[in-house]
Amino acid sequence: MKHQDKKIEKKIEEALHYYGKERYESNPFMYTRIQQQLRNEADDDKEVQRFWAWKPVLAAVMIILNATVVYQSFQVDEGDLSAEISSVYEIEENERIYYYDYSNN
Amino acid sequence: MHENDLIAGLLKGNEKSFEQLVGQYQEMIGSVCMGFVQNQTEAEELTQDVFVEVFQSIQKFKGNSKLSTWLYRIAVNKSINLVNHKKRKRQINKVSIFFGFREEKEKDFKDHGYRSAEQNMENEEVKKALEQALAKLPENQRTAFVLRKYEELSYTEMSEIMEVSVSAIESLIHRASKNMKKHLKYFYSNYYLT
Repeated sequence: MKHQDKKIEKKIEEALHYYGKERYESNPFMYTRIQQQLRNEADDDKEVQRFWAWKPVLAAVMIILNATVVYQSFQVDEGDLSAEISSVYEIEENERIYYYDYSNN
Repeated sequence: MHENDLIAGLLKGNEKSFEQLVGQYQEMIGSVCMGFVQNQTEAEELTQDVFVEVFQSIQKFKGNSKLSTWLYRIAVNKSINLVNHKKRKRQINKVSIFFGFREEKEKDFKDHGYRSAEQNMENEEVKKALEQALAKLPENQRTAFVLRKYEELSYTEMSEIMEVSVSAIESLIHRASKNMKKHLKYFYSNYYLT
């Protein structure tokens, strides 16, 4: 156990001594890499801007679509109503004919 | 180029000035990042991010402090963010390992170490120990420890970067060294037990 403690103590000292020994090595292409990253970020921004430029067009398309759907739904309602009215007239007419036929017979 | 000329060039968006800045300060920023992450590749990526942020926010530099102090601050903040991110990732990994969603990586590290050269293995082991011990330090202690032990900055410079008094820096370094020893002891005790 004591041996292990000593070993650990030695390792701690070694680690603290090692700290700072391994230095950063400058990359000669760092500036090129930074430029590339800045260019990529600028491209991403442009893409986002391009997307938002479509916003008014998208809004216009949505409004037209909504208007068409609303207009069509009114059209269908009117059609249905007239069909319903005509079917009521038809029934009444049939009943009248039936009554006329029945009373004549 | 004089620092004032360099700053003036940067504020004007002069590319030559920016190139000069990268050439002049890459090693300094890289060293700070290296002090936090103990890994050349990650330190390079961090350095790159630091310069990108410098380029994007140079207009915010008021000139109240030295340019190097401002750069140190950005590098320290970026490094702390990365270390915290890695710490969170490690905690998630631990939970995943506990529930069996993922296999243990620690074993891979050890096995891989035994297969490679003995010196490499020891260096990897030390790096791992340092990285984990550093990650366990509170943010301000970690920053003080890195700036002092890695960058060998004076207490006055450190107090400017960290915006605290010199006596606070002394206390932070003392506590950081004590905690580093404690965390390293914990790491090695576990390492030799498993």
